[in-house]
Amino acid sequence: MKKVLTLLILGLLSVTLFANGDSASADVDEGGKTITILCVTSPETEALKVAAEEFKKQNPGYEIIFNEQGRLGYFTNVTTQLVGGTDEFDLVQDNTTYMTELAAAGVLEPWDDYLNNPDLTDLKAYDLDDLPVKLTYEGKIYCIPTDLSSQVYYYRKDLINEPAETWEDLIELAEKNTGTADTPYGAVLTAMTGGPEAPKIFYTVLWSYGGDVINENGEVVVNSEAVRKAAEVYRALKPYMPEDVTTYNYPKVFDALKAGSVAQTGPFWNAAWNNMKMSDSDFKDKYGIALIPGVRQADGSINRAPQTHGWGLVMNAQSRNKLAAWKFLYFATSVEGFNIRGANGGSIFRPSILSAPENADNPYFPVMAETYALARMEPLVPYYTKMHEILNQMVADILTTDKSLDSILERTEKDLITLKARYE
Amino acid sequence: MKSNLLRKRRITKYYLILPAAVLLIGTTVIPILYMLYTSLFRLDPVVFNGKWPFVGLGNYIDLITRDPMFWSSLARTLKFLLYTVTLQIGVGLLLATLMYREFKGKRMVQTILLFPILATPIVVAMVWKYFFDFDTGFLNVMLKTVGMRPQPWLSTKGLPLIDAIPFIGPWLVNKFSLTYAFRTICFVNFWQWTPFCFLVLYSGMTSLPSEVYEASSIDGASSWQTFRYVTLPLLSKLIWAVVFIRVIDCLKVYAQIWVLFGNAETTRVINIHLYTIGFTTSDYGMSSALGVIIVILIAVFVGMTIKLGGKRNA
Amino acid sequence: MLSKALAIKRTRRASFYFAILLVVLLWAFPILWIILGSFKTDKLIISQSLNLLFQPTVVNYERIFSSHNFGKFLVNSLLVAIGTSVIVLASSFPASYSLSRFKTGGDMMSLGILITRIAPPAAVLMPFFIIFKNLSLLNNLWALILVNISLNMSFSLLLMRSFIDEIPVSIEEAATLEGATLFQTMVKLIFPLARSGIITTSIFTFIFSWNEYLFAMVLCSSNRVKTLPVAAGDFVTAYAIEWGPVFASGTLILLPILILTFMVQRYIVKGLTVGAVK
Repeated sequence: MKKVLTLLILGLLSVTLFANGDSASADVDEGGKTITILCVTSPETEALKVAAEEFKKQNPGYEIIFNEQGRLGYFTNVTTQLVGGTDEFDLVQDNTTYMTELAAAGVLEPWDDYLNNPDLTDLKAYDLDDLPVKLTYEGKIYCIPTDLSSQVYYYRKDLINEPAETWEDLIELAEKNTGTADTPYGAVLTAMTGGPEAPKIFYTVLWSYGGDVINENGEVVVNSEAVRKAAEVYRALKPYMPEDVTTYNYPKVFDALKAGSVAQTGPFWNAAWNNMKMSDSDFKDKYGIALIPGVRQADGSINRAPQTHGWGLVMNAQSRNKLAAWKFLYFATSVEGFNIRGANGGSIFRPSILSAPENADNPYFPVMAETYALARMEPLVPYYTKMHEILNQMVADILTTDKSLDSILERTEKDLITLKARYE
Repeated sequence: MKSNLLRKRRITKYYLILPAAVLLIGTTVIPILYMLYTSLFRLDPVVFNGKWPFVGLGNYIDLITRDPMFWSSLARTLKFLLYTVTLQIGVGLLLATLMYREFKGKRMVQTILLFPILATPIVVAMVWKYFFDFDTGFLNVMLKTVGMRPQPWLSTKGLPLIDAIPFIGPWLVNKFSLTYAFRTICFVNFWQWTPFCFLVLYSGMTSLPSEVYEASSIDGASSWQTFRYVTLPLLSKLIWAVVFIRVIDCLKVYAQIWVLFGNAETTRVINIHLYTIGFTTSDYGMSSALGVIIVILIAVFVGMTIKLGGKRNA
Repeated sequence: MLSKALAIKRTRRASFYFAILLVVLLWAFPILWIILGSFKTDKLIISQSLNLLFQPTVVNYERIFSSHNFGKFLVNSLLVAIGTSVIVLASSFPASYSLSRFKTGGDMMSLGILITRIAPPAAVLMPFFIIFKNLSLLNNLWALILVNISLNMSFSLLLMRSFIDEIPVSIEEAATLEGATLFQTMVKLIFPLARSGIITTSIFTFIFSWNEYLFAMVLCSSNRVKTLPVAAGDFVTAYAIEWGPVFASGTLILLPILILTFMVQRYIVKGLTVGAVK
């Protein structure tokens, strides 16, 4: 009896394992009309799926498989897979900040040949000029984002009448709303150490002071008055934020918003607006949206610089179904694709849609139109991830230690110069 | 007779070992050699599919002399080892003594203590992430229910009791990693592995000859004296074995820390640093070099323990 | 006088059981909470009260099976865990027999086997990835089986050997005198006698392969070959952690382990302690 059982298990095992191998080879032979997309579990992906349904309706015979993964280790996995030369997926969703490194590695397929081929692309209807963001590397386009993630300011409308315009306003409002009956925290910043987000928020603050980390000439300029001012804003906000603010990543800040425990947050990502509206939070209608705070200039205007990055699909250079993949890319970033995804939780950044009169009533659209106009992107260097690590450390030091800002900035400067030297 | 039998089988014994040896060598030695090889190159995504620039021992030198996190994460690893292993052995011994008697439901308690050891690390880590959350976590909700102040379990701040010591408080926090976050990762490791220490020490205790206990109780020794002068010396070899196993496993700890804190500096032990270099920043050459350094460190540790006689032939 | 002694005895007993209760609470509660949480809605889980009494719901389980294909992941996990156990067992049994009876390779061999365990998994992840890519084994369950063999073989060898060490040699000598070949002795005589060692080794290999996360995430990311721990991580989405499905998948992953622990507690204890003492 036992023997029979063992044999049965063994037999079953080998059959299933081999059957697995067979089905893998079968996928490839389906005339290249089936594409696989590796993507992260998110509302944007859900919106992309709706667009895919429509795409399949318009293009019978095509099949799109979504291979969804959690955020835990997603980006590292994307890099490992692409660099390792997998052909398991044709398109992969990635953050534009990581794409330069991948383009430099030669594992992404540039779009130019497809865009400029009139058989494949109707450039006029596609309207490239209506797409303000394109990810290019050495003159070639590698991605036109499907979603553009920028930063805005959220505030409890029932507690705050006038949204903060400057960082001083933000600090003042934070002080006023800390430890009240309504909100334990006056403000919160996305400052998780060891995540992808903290330096991006910090960029927004330091840019508004006119500073930078690496300037256009490629010089390290982090040890400057502007960056010190930005760091001072962080230190001034510290008493009004949760004690463990360096563990706050997007989900935690978003949870705090949903629980109504923070009076204001900003800079924070625009995606939260749609996510909030789709949630079952009791506070989902209590938040207002506005432009991020900035620095008042001598002429009375306010200098704002929301850090922005794209979320988009890039094509795997090893893909075996490139034509089908392009067909879907083209559809997803077309005006029609934007409208479908926008209506289903995706972000819209084509100016033609943002400023359309039928969208004027929704506070989100005018704010986003202005935000995208101010949008600024991080320096996209091939050593991005390593630079990011160093900046993460800087933000953590500012928020969790008593070290002098001078010493923190000096250390950051030194580390960045060392890093840069390795790539020259 | 016996030796004759063995001689006939001199060759057969190698045949028997062959499948396992091939599998073991194929799946461990080859990757390790490959790691050694890649550690000699500058190897990141940009050059991966092209020509790899040979840097010799450059990665090792960079790590040791330039990487600001290398030494600090190494020091942190030692602190992590010191805190967790001491606690685990201490509480393990305490539990073993506690359970060294018959009582109702003993088997059940032992079974419950087995779960943490075998439970899926990633699942356990996520539960603790939930438990320790400041606003919605179980622990703080409980504290608030009984009218106490919620604790920032995941914060990178120093423990207030230590931090408040005049003058040297912050220095102590810094030097000995006495932060909330560090305490939390030590606790999670403690939770998962104390039952293991208990189990091994308990079975060691039960296998001690009962005469020694009888003799000492006739001599009128108190239970503490019995423990201190009879049980402990007899168990010392076993305790060293447990320390040995725990040290090696602690150096490989990953999911617990990664899920709770990612690669935050406060809790970055050497293995997390390795993962950060290798995968967050995709510096494969550098991470291989660090991997080799870790292997050497562990090998030195193993060699030392064997030499010290705490443990013989594995 | 007597009642005083009785009172002391009672207090002692009470404090003893109190200590035991604390131990049980500390170590059982988190596991219990996962299971309870899997029957709650997300909103209930992150609400700021304890909610010990609640209306149980199976919505999380419906979700993971309907929209996330957990049936398939379950099969994948089982295939990897069983496949690894079978191969490890089939190769480590004769090897351990040889190690135990003929002291093959001597102490150096044992040390060598132990040394293979010390490489940090994260450091050999990339080498494995490249090797499997060249063998066209990425996104193939065989890759995971091979990795898990790598992670479990040394432990199995040492564990199994210590079990075989306990079987007296005299039995085999008698069998050999009666003309049994080595192979016959090993399979017909030692295999049944080493039963507890075989069960213990299989259980450990099964559980450790079942739990493996890091390699599974990188080597088998496609939905076709995804395993359960990786699938559970998928509910940590870009913007939020969906605690309900996390707990439901956690429960599903822990269930076989819980059942095994209850059923074969004796073997597990033996395996853990023998592994340490040797």
